[in-house]
Amino acid sequence: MLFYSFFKSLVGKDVVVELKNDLREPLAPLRLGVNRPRVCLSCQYLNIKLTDISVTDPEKYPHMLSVKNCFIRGSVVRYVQLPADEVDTQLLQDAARKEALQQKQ
Amino acid sequence: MAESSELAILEDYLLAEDAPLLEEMAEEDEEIDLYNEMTFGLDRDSMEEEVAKALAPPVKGPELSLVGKNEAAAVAEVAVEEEDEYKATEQPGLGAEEEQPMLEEMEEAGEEGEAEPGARHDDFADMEEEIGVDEQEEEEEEGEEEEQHDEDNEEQNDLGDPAVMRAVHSKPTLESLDSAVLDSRIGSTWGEFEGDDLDKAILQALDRGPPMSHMNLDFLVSPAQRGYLGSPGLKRPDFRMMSPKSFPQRFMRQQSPMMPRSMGSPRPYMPSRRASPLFTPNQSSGYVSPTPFRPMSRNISTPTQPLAMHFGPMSPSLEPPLFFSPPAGCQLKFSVPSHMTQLHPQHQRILNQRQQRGQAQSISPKKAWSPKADPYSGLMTRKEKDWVIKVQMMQLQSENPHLDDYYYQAYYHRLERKQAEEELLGGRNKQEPPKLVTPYIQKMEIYDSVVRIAGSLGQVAVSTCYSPRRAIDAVHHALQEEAAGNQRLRALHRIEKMFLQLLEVEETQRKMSLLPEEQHPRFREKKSHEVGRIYQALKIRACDSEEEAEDEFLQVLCVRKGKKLTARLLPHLAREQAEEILVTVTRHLPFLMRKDVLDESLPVLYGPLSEMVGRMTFSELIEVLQELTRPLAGSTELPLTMTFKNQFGISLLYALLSHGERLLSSDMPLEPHSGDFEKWTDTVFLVARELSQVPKTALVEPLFLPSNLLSLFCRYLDKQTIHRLEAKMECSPLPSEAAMPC
Repeated sequence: MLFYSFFKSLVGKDVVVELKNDLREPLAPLRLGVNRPRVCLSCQYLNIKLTDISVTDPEKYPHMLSVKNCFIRGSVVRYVQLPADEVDTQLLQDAARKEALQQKQ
Repeated sequence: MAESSELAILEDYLLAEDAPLLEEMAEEDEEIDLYNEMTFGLDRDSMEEEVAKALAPPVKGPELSLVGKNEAAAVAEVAVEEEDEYKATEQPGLGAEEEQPMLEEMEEAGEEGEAEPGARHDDFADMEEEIGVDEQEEEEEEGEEEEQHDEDNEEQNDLGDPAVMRAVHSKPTLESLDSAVLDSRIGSTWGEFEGDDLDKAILQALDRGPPMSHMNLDFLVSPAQRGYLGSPGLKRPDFRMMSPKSFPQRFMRQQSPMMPRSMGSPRPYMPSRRASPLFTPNQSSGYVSPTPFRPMSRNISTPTQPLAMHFGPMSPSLEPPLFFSPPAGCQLKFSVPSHMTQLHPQHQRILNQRQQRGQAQSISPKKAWSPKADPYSGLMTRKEKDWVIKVQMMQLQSENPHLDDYYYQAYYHRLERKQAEEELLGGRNKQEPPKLVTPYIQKMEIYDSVVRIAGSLGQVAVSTCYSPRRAIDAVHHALQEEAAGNQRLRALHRIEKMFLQLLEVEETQRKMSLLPEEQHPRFREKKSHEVGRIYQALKIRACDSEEEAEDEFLQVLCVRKGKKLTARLLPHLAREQAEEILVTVTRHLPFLMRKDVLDESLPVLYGPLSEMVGRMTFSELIEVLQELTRPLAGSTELPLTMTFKNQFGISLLYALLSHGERLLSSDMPLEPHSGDFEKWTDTVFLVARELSQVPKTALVEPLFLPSNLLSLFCRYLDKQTIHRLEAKMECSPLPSEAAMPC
């Protein structure tokens, strides 16, 4: 649940999502809406819903020019580039430790 | 649904005239409705229809609404308005099978709507706004166009418990549309339930739009619905018994600790058919209530609402109606289920702000949504969508939101605190009410993974839905990771263990701060015990410079994680223990600095250590300084000189000197030991000499330059030296140098 929780805190922030098909979609204004990843015991899908997107390479992907909002399946995401000041690494580490501890038990 | 579309055509007819005809259609559609309801929860339409009916045995005809009104006399105007509307728009000749739960909900909603204002003035004062906000968001979600006008009036009354679906909703949702196709420039904020005229305007415009679009989509939808003709002919009694587990859930919801309102009397016959039959009681062996969601039915808009949409970017967290919990303090006890992503109220507030800003900026280029029928929209009804959402949300529920959702909750606590501070400092005028953290949890019963049958030999192979093949009681033992020979690994392993303990300590600390005063000593004891354990684990001891590499504590300190651990631990330590650490660090400073060349993470220790320094006595200070001035074995250089090249080192040195100066210049009795003053002056001279000898380029900028250093030097040195030092250290020149007794 860690990354679901983590992404929840990023709702409304600008991110750049790079997909495995080499498509990169940064958001001009914000609104990354984290959509309901499914948590099934230990698995999460981490699907992402983006609003107000723009594509970095419009020439290569002209079909995306008209798309403003999209829903991305979690499995096709390669990277999510986050704003550094929105992330609390210490908190993230703590959360990871707790989760690891919980899983061990 | 289907019939409502047909009804739209028949609106002009007097209901009484067409009662028989409509009845037929109604009955047929009833079955479909029932099936759909079972699958997806109650449909809004049917709900509203039921609202128009009496609780009493079904009476068809316009009288229904009247009777319904009487029955629901306790219901707020909200409901009444709804009923009025449905008199006009819906055919009342449907079976009354579904009316009771619906009506009950309506009453509940109504009662809550009434009771809410009363219950509002309490400690959850800040929830008022949230409730209102959430209510409106809910309405947004579940809005039906037809009811928009009424709902506008009702918005002020919408203070009910969002956990209970209101049948009246103003804002249509985005869900009924393909969001990818929507032009977001249209969008106003989803937070615009707070009085967005744009939406209303647009919707009104759409209202006047072609009614044909209503029909078109109906054609699309109804075949699908007609396909559900296999709906079981469930009668009401079955419904009642169908989801007994939803009842406690619903009950729980109603009695959620956060809602201090008088609960509407739960009807004994309330079946609360929210639980879909798909989640049969047997399926999930452990579920207290099979579905974590509230009755979603109300927010289901029918395909006759193709234009029911929310303009603007839609936060996915809003897609299902919101549900919120009491403020952070109480959230531990809160276990009301909700089936959707819920954001921290702060978070939503921020999002709202942004949207409003965006709305303000982009309001001009917005164009009304063209009412062209999209052949691919409306493939899923609101109910179906919500059902899918429910399924997804079910998987998200956790028993322990505090742990599972740790990051998000902690993040927003901090955000809240920061904003509270800002506000205290007068940063902002408006007090934005802190929104609530949203738990989407549900207590799940623990199930026995291994079934032991008395008298059997060993374990019986039992498969459950969670562990289809869990036939053996495999216990996962923590691996003993004694990595032989790799010091660094071992150190890391130890650090991790200590970190877990530290997290426990901080957790205890946090709990302590939330609890009343009486229990503090107990927690404090527990905490100090834990801290003591960690301290022991650190294995701090005196060691010579030869053994530095082997000393465990120093090994810990060599790793960045270890430094962070120590830095976090220092505030919790007792004074002597913290001093011990400081002395050790200072003693082995050259070693540490050497090891830190790559990492450069020593500064993380600076904060806690300087705080420590600030509390030391003079003698202790002298002791520490002695460490720095003791010449290293095998090297002519003083540790002192070596600190000049390291940011942390020089900062620490300055901090020590500054503290000494502060002590000396203050009037407090110092109680120095014999020889302390001499050592002090010696040290100062030494520092000054070294400083003046070191070329400026070799001098590293400290993390913090205390202001009283120059005055310290002034005490002992001549003007020339001071000038030189001033230039080197780049201190601000003394205000009145002439006044100094140099």
